[in-house]
Amino acid sequence: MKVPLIWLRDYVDVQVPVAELARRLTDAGIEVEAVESIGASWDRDRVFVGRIVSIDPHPNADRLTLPTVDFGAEQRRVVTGAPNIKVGDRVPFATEGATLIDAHGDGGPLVLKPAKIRGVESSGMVCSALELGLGEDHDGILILPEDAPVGTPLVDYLGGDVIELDLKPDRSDCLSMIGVARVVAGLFELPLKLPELGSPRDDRAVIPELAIDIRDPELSSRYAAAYLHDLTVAPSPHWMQRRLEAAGQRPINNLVDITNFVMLETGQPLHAFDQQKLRGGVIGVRPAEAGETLRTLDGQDRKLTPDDTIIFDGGGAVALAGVMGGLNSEVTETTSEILLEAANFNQTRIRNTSRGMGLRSEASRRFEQRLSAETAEYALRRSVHLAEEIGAARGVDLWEDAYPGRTEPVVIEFPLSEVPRLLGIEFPRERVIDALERAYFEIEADDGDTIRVKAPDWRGDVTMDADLVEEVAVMIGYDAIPSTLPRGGVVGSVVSEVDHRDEIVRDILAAAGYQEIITYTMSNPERLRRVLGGDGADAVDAAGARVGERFLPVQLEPLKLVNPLRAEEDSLRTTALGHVLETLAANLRFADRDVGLFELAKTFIPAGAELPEERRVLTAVVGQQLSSPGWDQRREATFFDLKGLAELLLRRFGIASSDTAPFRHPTFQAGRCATISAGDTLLAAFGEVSPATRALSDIDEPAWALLVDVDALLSIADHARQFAVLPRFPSVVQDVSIVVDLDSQAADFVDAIQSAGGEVVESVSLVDEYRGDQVAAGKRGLTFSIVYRDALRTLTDDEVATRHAKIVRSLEARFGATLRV
Amino acid sequence: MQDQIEQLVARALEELAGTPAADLDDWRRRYTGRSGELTGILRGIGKLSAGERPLAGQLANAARQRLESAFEDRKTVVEAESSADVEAIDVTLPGYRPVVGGLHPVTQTLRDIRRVFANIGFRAVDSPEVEWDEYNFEKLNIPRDHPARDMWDTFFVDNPDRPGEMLLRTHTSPAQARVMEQTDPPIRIITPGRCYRYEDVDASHEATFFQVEGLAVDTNITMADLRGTLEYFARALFGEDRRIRIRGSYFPFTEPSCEAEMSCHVCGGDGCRVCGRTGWIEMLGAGMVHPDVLEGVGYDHRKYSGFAFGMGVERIAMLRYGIDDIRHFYRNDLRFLRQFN
Ligand SMILES: [Zn+2]
Repeated sequence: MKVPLIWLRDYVDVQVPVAELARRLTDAGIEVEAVESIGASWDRDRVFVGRIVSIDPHPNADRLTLPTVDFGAEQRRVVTGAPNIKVGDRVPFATEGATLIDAHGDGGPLVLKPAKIRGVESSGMVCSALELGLGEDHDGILILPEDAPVGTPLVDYLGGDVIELDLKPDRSDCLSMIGVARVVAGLFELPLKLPELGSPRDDRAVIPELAIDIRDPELSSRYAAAYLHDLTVAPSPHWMQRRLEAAGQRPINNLVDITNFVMLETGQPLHAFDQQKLRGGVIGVRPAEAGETLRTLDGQDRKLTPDDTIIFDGGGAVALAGVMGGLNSEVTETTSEILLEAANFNQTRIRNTSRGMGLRSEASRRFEQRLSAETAEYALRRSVHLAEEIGAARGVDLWEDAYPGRTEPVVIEFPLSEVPRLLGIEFPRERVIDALERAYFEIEADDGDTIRVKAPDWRGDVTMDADLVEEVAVMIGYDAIPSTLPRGGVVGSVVSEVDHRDEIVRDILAAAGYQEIITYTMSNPERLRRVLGGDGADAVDAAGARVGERFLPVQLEPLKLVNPLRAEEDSLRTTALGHVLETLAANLRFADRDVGLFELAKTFIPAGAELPEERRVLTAVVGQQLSSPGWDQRREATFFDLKGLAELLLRRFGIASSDTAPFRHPTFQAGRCATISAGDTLLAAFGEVSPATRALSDIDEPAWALLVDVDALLSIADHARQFAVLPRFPSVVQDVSIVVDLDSQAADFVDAIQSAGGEVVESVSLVDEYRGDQVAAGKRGLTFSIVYRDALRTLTDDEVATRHAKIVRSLEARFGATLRV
Repeated sequence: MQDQIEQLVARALEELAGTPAADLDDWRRRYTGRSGELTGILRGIGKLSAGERPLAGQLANAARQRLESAFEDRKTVVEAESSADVEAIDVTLPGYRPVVGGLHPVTQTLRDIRRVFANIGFRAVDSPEVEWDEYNFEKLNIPRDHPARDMWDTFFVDNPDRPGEMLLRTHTSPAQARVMEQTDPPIRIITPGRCYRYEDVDASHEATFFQVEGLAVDTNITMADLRGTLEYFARALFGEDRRIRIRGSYFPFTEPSCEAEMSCHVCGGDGCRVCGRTGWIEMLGAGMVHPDVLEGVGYDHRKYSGFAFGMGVERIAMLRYGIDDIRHFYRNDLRFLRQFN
């Protein structure tokens, strides 16, 4: 909503600087989005209203002319290329030194200098709208109204500040100049001056009969009409045009301008029908019938439903109520009588129709919001009064008025103690009452503790005492409210287990060299299925199926959005892996190493008609190249980087025993991936991303991924730690290198060494795996380091040797292992 | 004699400190050797009276031990220096940087927000991102067809069984109703989480963003408490001299409603580019929980009152780090993310 200050000051004489006005309104919840200053750059001494006195041809150029312009103080001859001027025209005239907009250059400021154009001196300039910053029009000179006072500084004639309001839905009363003026009057404690209406001077003896037929007050609480005749179509007076233009409305002619002017002034939309095209002396409001059609003013045939509201006459639909008129009752050049409608319609129905048809206008915007039915009568009287004042028409202001939906004013019992209870500050009661009265609330009764307050009709947003507390805060100023902290409080933990877990997980990943990312939760089914690398359903074993179900349920139909912004984001993701791989691909384009990424975020598993399961999964990926200590030293990432990361997490959550086992799933490279489970609980899956999956994510180097069910991690976490006595006696370390079958599992040997060695084996760790020529085909070499220690004494060399030999024998016997030399 | 010994020891030690390896033996000869100075003094003990002799003897022996011990220390140091015949390191060569990752700036900001509110007793709770219209709107005093619905452009989720009811929450406010339905006052919570708006993305708007909702309900909660809480928050995150001003606003689920602004942390309030030359930065929307919302969850609105606020996390992060475009956050470019590690 644009509010030109010259218009606002018609009703309230506010003279504070515009910045202060804007701030006070904004503080009051009527947000000023922008302040526009029309003509701020027009120098009062250099830009004037001028008049073309004569026009001479240019001696050297056919396309140029030499108008002489009178601008009060003197007359000057200038050169122009504009085709649209004639003698007598009022035009904007700038003398040298004036700042204009460079219409031929970059649109920046241009200071006017004397110039010789094709041999003729030009000492000034007649200006286009564009050069004055008044719009885009540069086809010709801006022609001012005939009564424009020659010699007046242009800024006084056309300039002024305009504030633009971003209104919240509660303050539809401010969709009008008078509405804003009321607020300003209240805030600055100034009187409000409403236009004098007088009484219409209609002397016509016979006026037509009109019956108004509102079929259902739910559709329209009020329908009132004025009658205009003796029409004289002409441009509106300058004062009206200037106000309309500053408010963003293009002036058309006096009759159209009056309806727009009164709508902007009062907030009441008006619609003009050609009275002689209306049939049967009746006008009314009803729902459209199914299948009914109406050709609207834009020439479109509109198919209507009973959810649309129409205005009808004796012959059928003549307008789409509150949204657009019908072509069959349009006002044209031949119109001689007008029915001017001021009505109040059901806001929800107008809203649905205007949205459904994509027809939103200044009028429908107002009808969609709360609009006081009381305004209709005032708007009609004002319109007819204005029509007579500017000589556009004569008329009957309240021709007919049907008001079946009249409501009682809202009256609120207001305990004054509510003010300190909600605001935390106690104001003197006179200040509270004064604040309400400045906002046009009437105090009907006052018993000391409680007052009875009547709300003005235009404040439909105020229905209860909390609303009145807000009025008091607005009028006195929110800044009066002090700062305190809430007293009392809640006993209990402020950090949830889940948040705590998430912090731990993120910290571990970050410490391990992974960068957290946050990706979008929207995807689409095809994009989600890319993690399968194509149709690899046959490559799934039972363990892989569990991995798919828990971490990659991309075969499930994801939750679909009804109104996606983009086709590739029309669903909620069931896994984050796709997005994380896409992010890996994007970063690998410029980062040649150490691209380890993770996301700990929700995925959305559909649950039929119910809200989906919002499942938290940790997804980590890493590209092939990793730094190793040194400058520009690097190594390649392996399966074991991801396994080590998973083990670090498990250890941090106190999960001591878990099983690692291979699985087959198309997202991962078979033979290079594994799950980690604790008992029946699947905790994690990790491994090399399959080449097909990589390819669909545009990653052209090996990549690894880890998926962790953090909820499962939390459910079996054991944060208890038990102190163990530090060893008092020395240990002996002995390695054993064995040759075993390729398809053996290292974990089995560790178990066997532990059990054969007994209690003196403190720990066993794998230190080397060898595959190659030095062992027979189908074999590999493994080297384990065994730490022997007795807690109560120092072991002798003999004891260790005996135990070590026993272990070797056991490995030979159980696995057919041979010692490697 | 005592003075004589002390002076000798002091002189010898001073000389020893600068003695190079080659001259160490010479030093020893001169002071503690058979014809050294200390030995000379010891010889003079014989001339003392019998009463003075034991003390002088003790002093002389102690001095010899000190000098011998200092000699050994010096010898160790000098030998270590000479044996390590090292080439000097160019200390300006870069260090080997351990590879460490980091947290997303939104996560870092969320952690800080959580920590600040935890300090004044606000518990962080989670709430669903996919919501019912009932919680996202209706229980927040925004019935269907209410013009205020235009304030939240909504993504709807297809649900044939309950058409038009499932949506992506447009704000974290549904958590208000969810928490109040399950808990009796007093309540002090924040709910951080992702929200969604059906709108085009530009430098200052994202269709997907994080919000933190705050809610305090008790028998004595006032707007002054709201202001104080926000002031505490602004000071913790943006510096001790931050001030808060509040102005009128409108949300269907609060009454009175307000917007809170913080004095600019860049210019301190004088006006700069960051604050649009106003000295104030818009921080969040807030208000006193609407009586209809309280009654809707079964609270007596005459007995209880509460405040609620909702802030955009990216906006807070942008202000803290001076980020000029919200779209950076979810492009996840490492060159961006690593700036905050
Ligand atoms: Zn600033």
